[in-house]
Amino acid sequence: MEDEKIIELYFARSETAIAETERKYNDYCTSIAYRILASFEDTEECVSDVYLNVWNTIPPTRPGSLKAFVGRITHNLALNRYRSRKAQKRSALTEVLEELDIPDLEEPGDVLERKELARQISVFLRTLPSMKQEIFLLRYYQYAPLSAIRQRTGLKEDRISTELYRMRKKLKHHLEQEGFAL
Amino acid sequence: MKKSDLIWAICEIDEDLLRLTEENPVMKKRHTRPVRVLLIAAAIAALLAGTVLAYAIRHWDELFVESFQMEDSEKELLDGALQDVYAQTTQDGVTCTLKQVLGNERCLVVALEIQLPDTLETGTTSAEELSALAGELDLPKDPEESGSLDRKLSQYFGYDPEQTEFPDAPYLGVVGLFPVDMEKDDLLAAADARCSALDVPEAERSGVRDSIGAVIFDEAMKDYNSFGGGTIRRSYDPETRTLTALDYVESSGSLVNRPYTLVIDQLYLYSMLNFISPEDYPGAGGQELLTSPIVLNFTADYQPQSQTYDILQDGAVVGTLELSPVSAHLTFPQEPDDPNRLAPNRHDYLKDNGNLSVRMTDGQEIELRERSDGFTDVQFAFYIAGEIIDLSQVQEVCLGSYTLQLQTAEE
Repeated sequence: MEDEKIIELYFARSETAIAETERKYNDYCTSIAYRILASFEDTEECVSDVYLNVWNTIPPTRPGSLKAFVGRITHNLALNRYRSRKAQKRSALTEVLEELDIPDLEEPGDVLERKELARQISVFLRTLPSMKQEIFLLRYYQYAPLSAIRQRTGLKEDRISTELYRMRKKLKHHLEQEGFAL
Repeated sequence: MKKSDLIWAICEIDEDLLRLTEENPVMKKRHTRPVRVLLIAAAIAALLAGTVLAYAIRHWDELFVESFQMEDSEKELLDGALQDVYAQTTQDGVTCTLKQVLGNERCLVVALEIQLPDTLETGTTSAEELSALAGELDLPKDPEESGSLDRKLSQYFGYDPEQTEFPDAPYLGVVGLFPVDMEKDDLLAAADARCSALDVPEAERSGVRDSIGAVIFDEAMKDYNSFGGGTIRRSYDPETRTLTALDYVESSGSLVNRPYTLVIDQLYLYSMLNFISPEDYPGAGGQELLTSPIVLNFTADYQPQSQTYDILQDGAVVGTLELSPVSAHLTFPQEPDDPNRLAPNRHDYLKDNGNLSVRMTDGQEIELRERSDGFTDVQFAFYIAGEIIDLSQVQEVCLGSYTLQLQTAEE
């Protein structure tokens, strides 16, 4: 079923919307959550929460891309679950946190400040060629391992690491210029 | 601001950017059902094979003719080494034809034609856009220099760098040529089974394709000490949407009189902007054209031509050279007392890391380009000739600045 039709089902408060979302995006949500949580049990619970969350958000929200919307919610729920876990399992997110020199995933800060930070990251990404944008997002949004990025892009892992290093450096410079001290 | 806000903020970047990661999820769903094979033995094969060959010189694919600068006399000379195959299959509207095979004992060259579907939507990139990106990427400005925009456009695509518009073009990954007879259904089923047996979470599996190489290795490759391959020539005609490729495999073992499975699983359509961006491979942004690999089966059945020489030093045999009309294999035996160390005399030969050249009796010199992975730790070195070598007219063979002392090896 097309995304627009699924969104209409949400607006019509038809529970079929949830079934269709699950049918279409369960693999996608599972892969995102698993990379953050590295636990099947937690992933399953998290993805169940995603559908409830989507049900409670649409309406009034009408997403432009249902997939991006569902992916965003999965991210947020999985990150919250990761943060609140007592015993931490090493996951793909853990690797990314280390790579970004972030010692711990803390509770999100001030919402306005975070939205401005997100806007500046978007501005920065738009200065990059699409190939680099994709590498950045695969690594720091999807938490994809280098091997998966290699498979997707055809680039060697050394080259991907180099590109990521350069982009981190450039992003840091860009954010500092915009007044962010990370 | 906390450092970890970066992670939260990345989740909130503009939606259109996030969509970049949507088109082809990194973790593809595992294939559970192999796709039905569509293998067509082209009628033309029957027409061209065997007794129908009434012409003095039969048709040679242009890829061979241009790559080896072939004269008619050389076509006659090599007639037995050429095999007409003309096997064809279609996958996702992409038609792949294995036209001809030119081979010898240890090297096999295939001429392929890949026809993209007429329905495929393509675009163009302007010369200005390409120049701007080349400047941004700081590509070499000298058109002759490796990695320059001109070289990338003309070498791979055959485009004239003076064009004002550059049509999107396909990128063909490695053409796998494996000495095994496996039909597509069997190959994918075996790969799928292997993939399922891996001790990794399903969410982390990248798909059945990764397992194809492992399946083939188990089936056929264990008998070979060395087995490699690569590309001699590729070009693309945007008007006819035809990609042509001359690829080869080479091995320390015999390649003739055995069945083969040809596998292609990477075929993308790229805008030129995406293609010139990276140094080694096309970058992201390509449109994947295959949902399942192209698989073709054929049997190598040609008459190999080669001449084997012993390489002498101080009267002792230190290696062998196997020369064919299109390639050469140089082999130095391992030292029995220290298998990881190259023999001193071998170092003497190889330290120049030079190409091989053959001097013919009429004074002509034919260069062979080194195609193996490098000299330092290898037993074998493999070369592809730039022209056809008439084995009966070889006078001497040089490796870099060394003239090899050769004697015809005993059978």
